[in-house]
Amino acid sequence: MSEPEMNARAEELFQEERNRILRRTDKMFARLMFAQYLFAVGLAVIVTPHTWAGEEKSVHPHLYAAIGLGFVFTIFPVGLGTFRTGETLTRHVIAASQMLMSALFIHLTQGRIETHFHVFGGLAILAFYRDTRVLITATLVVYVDHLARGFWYPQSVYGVLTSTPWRSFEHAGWVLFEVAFLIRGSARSIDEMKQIALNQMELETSKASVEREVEQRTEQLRGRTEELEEEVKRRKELESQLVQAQKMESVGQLASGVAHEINTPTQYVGDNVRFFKEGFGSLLDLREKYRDVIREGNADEERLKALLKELEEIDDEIDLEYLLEEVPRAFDQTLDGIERIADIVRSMKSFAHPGATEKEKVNLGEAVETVVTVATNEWKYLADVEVRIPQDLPDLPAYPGEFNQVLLNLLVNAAHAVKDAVAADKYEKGNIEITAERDGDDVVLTVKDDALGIPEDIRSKIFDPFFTTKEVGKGTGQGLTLAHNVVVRKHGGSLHFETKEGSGTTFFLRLPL
Amino acid sequence: MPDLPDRFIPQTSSPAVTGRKWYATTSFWLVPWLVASILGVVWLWDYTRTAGSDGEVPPAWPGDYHGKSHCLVVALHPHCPCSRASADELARIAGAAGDRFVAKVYFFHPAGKEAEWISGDLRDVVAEIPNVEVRADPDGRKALKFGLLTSGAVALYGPDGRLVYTGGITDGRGHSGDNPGKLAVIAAMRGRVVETAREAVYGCEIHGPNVGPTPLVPGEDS
Repeated sequence: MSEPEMNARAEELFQEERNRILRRTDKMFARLMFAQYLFAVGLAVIVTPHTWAGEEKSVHPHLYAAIGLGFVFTIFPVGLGTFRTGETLTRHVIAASQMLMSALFIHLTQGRIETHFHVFGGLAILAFYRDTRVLITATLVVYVDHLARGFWYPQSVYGVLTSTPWRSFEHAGWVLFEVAFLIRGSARSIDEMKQIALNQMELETSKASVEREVEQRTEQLRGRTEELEEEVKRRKELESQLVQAQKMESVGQLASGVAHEINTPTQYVGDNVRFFKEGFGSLLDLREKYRDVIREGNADEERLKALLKELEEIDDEIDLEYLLEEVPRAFDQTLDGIERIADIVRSMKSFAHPGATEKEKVNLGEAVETVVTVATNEWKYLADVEVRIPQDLPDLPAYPGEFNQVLLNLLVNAAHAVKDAVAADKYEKGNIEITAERDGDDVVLTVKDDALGIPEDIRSKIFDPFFTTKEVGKGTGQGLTLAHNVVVRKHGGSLHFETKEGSGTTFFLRLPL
Repeated sequence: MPDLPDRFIPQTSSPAVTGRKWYATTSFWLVPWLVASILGVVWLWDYTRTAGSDGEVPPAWPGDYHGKSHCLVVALHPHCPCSRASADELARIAGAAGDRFVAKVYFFHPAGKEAEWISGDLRDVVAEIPNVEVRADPDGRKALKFGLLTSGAVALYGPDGRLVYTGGITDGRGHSGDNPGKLAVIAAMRGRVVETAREAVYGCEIHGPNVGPTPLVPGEDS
């Protein structure tokens, strides 16, 4: 804001405040003058109700004066003070009327000296306007009253004695004495109002400056917040992509094991099918011989004996007893194999799916079963896996894809730990237990192995990114880090472990229902 | 406010925006209002300064005068509201004259009215003034005798029984304060030369209409 603008604003503030004071004082005087009028009438009724002539009385002229003249003195200033507040004319009319009312009161109180205080009181109240011109108007009215009486009714002012004229100067002196101080007070008050206006203007300027600064900072912060939100969003996406990438990596790593898992049933299913094919061919040969016997039923005895002999040879050749015994078992084995393959494929499909972007209800038993299946080759030759998930456990709200990855990481880590224990000749085969139970509004899943435990010096690092104890190419050091992030940040749960060197490790995964 | 910068010099005139039409209308009513106010004040002054009737005051004390000092005769109407100022001035005269002050105050008492008719605030105030003899004045005969027709009128007789001053001791109806009449009475009682022998008197008529001054009855004591 430039200096002229600041001056203009200060001027505006000063005038606003001054106008408010003028209007407020106008209204106050309107009420005051109306009250004075009522008081004047009451005073006349009480003090000078009648004038007498012998025994006869009549209404005292003071009562007429109070009602009539009081009305004249009052109506105009009250009207202006009510409907035309703030006008210059209004307050000057009020000032003149107030002094006239003082004159009326002096008359009505029989010239009591105390009533002259009304003049001084009126001047003091007029000073509320903080307008020296109003005080001058009031003073002029007082003096015009004295001068006029001095001119037309000299005795009432000057009398005939030499001492009397000085009385009028005495009156004038006291009025001037008061008015001088009131004018000085008004001038000081105006100066203070100017200073307040300046202060307020400076305050407004400072406030506007601060507001601008705040606005700019807010805008900057808004920009930064948007950037941060964008960054958080990008990181979340990256995190999801990382989880997905790790899952794909897991799928890749598990692929050979899975292929092996599929290969075994595929082999014996193939063998069985070939067995069925050979057995079926033999049965067809036998059937042809039976048909030959039936067709040549009327042949001679020699021929029939020859046919029967061939029939017995074929029967012996195909070992029908063996077929009747083995085929049903082979069928069962084949179906088992196919189901096994179907299970593995279904689990892989379920595991590899990118998963929903929103939380879904996840059956913990099915999720664990899927992970155990796809990771079969990781643990099958090293450990026995025992899964104990209560049937009545409610479904968990979770991101299925990411949750499965967490389970896989925990299971594979356990399997690898057992593998290390086997390599260290702790045993030939270890145990892995996966259990779950409800704890209030949470579900706690535990993955427990009986391997060698986690050495104390690395316990504080196992959730750190890129930390791994595995050989190069076997682990990225992201598994538990991602698991921790997924559980804590995305699911509002917790992941911790208990371990004892030589005895094994248990991971506790707590998730809210 | 010494720190007030020079660059900020607010106007001190009214900030109100005023329509010319309104101002013209108001100014139009301002003139008759001023005229009415002035006329009203003039009328009030005129009333205040309208003197009451003067009677023919005996130049000497009717009959033999037995007093040793000045004697002030005062006639009052007990219900005249303007006469309270006269009573106040009477008290001031008493205070100023001291032991030399002797007054006889006659309160108008119409025939047929009870004694309470004259009692009231005015009588109580007068009765409390030292050396004042308060008397009821049946039908205002005493007032008539001394030519005092207006409430508040006084007649001051000297030690020799001769009239020194007559008139009012206030300067207007119901107006207290220094006035020539009061000052003349005080001066006379203090033994000084009185320059003013007669002044106007302000108050209610004591006797009512159609009552003329009663001739003095020689020898009738006051």
